[in-house]
Amino acid sequence: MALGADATFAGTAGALRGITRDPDGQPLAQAQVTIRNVAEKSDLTVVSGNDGVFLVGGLKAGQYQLTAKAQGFATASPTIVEVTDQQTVSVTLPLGKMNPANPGASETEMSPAVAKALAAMQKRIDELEAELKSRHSEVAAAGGPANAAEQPPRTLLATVAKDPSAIPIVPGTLVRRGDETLTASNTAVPQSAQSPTDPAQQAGRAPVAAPPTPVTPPKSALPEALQDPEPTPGVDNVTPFAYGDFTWLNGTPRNKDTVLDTKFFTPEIRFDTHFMTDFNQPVDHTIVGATESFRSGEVQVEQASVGGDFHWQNVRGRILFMQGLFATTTPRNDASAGVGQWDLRDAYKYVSEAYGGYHFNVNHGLNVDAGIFVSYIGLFSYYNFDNWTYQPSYVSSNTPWFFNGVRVQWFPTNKLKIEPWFINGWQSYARYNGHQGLGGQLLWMPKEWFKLVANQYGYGQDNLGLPHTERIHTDDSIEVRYFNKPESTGLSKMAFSLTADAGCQYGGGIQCTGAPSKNKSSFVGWMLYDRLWFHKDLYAITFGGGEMSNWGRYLTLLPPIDGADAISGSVYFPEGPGMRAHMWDSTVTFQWMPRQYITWWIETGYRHSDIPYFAGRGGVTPPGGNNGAPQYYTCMSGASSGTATLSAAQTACGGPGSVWFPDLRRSEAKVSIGVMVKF
Amino acid sequence: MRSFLVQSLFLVVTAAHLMAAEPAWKSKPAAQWTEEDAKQLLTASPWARRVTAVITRRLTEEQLREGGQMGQPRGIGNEGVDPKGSGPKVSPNVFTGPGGEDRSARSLPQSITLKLRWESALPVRLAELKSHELEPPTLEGDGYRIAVYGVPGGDFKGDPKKLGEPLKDLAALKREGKKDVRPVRVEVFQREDGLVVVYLFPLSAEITTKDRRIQFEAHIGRIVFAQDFELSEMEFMGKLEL
Repeated sequence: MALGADATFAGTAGALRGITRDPDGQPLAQAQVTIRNVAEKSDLTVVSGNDGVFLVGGLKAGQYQLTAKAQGFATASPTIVEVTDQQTVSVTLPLGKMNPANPGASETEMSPAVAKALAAMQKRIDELEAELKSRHSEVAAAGGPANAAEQPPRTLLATVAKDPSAIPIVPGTLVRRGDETLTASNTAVPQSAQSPTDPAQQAGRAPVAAPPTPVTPPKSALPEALQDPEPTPGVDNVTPFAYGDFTWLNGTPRNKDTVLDTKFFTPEIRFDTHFMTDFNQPVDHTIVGATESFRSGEVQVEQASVGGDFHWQNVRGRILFMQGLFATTTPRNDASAGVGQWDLRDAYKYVSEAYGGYHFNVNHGLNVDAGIFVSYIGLFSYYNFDNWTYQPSYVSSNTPWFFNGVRVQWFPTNKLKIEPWFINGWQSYARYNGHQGLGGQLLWMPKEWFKLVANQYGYGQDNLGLPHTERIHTDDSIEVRYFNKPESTGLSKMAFSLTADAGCQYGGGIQCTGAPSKNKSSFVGWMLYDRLWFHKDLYAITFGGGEMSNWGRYLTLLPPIDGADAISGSVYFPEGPGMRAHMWDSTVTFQWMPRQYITWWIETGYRHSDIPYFAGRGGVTPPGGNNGAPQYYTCMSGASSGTATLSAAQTACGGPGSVWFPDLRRSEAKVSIGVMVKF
Repeated sequence: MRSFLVQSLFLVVTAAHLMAAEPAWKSKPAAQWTEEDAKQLLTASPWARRVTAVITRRLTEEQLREGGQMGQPRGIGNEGVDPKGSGPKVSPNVFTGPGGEDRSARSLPQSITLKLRWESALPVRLAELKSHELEPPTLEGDGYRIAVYGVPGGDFKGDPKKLGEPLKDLAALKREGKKDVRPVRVEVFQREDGLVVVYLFPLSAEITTKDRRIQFEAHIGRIVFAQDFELSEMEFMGKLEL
């Protein structure tokens, strides 16, 4: 119920002049109007005339409650007015339509929600009145401005009561979510709250709240600070590493969008297909000495993966299945499966990541994950789509791609991650010997253009058959983006990455330093890449390479001679303490990235070793194919000699020249081309 | 005569200018405020400011995972903040494309205008009454109450306090040379035109005009903003009103 009012002088006492109206806004004759003096609780009843008008004079100043009723119309909700001396207050009393289902009820009758809201409003008014009064007193006591101090009490209420729409509930006003009674009150809008000329009301439709009209005061009336706010230079300083765009990093996918996403699961799909040509032209099409290059002269699917992240509240899980060459070329480098039973290689070969965990809201995040997860020792990602080159140098290619165990990721700030690991061993499905491996990563990205990652590993006894030999390793990288002009159609970005690794094995008669004859087992390596992006990052070219020196060959990838793997070993390429392997390589990679989900690439590379290592023209496969005994010499006939001693093999095979040897070379050059997709 | 007219005109213009320059909350008692005065106080005054906030870019799943998260963050300021159609569009043609510019609008920061209001300030409460706001955002307990209006996203179900709980550690009142003041409670309310987030800061912060300036800084999910308030302008009837 609303009232419209204006006031004029009317003798010494106050007066009321009103009009009763039907639901269509037309004057309603013969309506009974009850006027109650709220303070005295006395009633006065008048009947409106044929024009709907009624007039009452001689009223004492004070609050009056007006109620109108008429035959065939619903009784209107009471209206409160403030009558003051020498004034005539005008009021409009609209009556509602009779509710056919409940003739005793009005469509506009006050619902409990409205009554509650009105009570709240009254409370607010009272509180504000009291506060204002108190403030006036303070100002007066302090000798403040007279006009402020002289405010009579209850002035505010008078002001409000004169306002036509002060009391009614206006749709769109604030309600607490979940407070259904108040939410529902939005529908109980008194018709009188609407302007009589409201087209919605005239059309008989439900009244619709008009959006609040923005008030734009004259600019000159506002202090400068209130005009035209400048955008806040806001970044996400809460989520770790979200303050910058790190998609330029080597080992990081460049995707800026997730195509498929749901509340519970975010899928991930990867395809990686290539064609490689080894200039040594091995007859068995086998490329050796890398964890990215396996076959020559063929189109091969290196990786086909589907999976994704499951997430609900703080519980998380990730799985990425793995098909393609990776499914066999990765497990064969892990000798731990040779310990005990159950075919662990089979168990894990189709899985590149599988872990579950929990995210704790500690600092900027604390995660505990258990399962198999990727390793970033060696900077490059296991997944080639994420990397600047397809064939990384030895420091990356020969170091772990996965760990099996438990990791904790702690983000004390949004620029720092500390990630300890408790794992079965160095890229191992199982524990080789008595010790699990311990390690951890420290990732620090204080600026968008800089990354420092340091991985440390130790304590693990990661050699099959060497129960007392432990391994330590450090892997440290920096990446620096030293030029960034993303809008340039010329050179748009430049960055480099530098990685240095060192490690060794000790114990059980093996030592980190000293002469080779003292069973030296150590690793030193580095790699450096520089990348240039062009035409708004549409193209990129990467130059780089690296070097490694690996005494004991414990991180030198075993060539798959006669199907050899890390468990079987190979008599043709022995790996043991004191044995040297020194290698270097370089690559030039061109990538064309028309969309963020696809990379077309071509790469040429050269690799060199100071020992015969790479597959030559003759290949690494015996005549007739693998004979199932790679740990022994093979005869020229293709049969196994059944012995790992050369002289015995010669005897077994039929004399000197009867033993087959793989064609191992000291160098390898190849050209590769391919396409990679990641969603 | 001409000189008199010029002088009169000058006086009228000066008076008009002075009147225009003096906002209602300084020149009139509250009871004489018009609805326009009240609305002005609630939208552009020392207690009510518009701030252009930033909706930070939507992170990819890899970026989230690298930061220790999984899945898009949920809750106020995270859901419903990206405009419709701002997501990625995959073209079937993989041979041509914009390269590094192949990204959706939501992968870049966007701006949004929010309204901040010191709800606990007496002039604001008076103006709200005057402008018919049925229930201004109120929190139980005494304190400095700041409301943020216009937060996009809707249909958040649940207790306002629970909805606001994650935002508590992501807001602060900052003053030069003093410790940041964190809210003791945050509540989220639903309006037809968006969400309202109300922060309750403790009175023990003892903000005085000697602080000269105070900055309200907050993260509401992906919405980030900071706004300065000049304390000397926030006096009403001779007293600092916050």
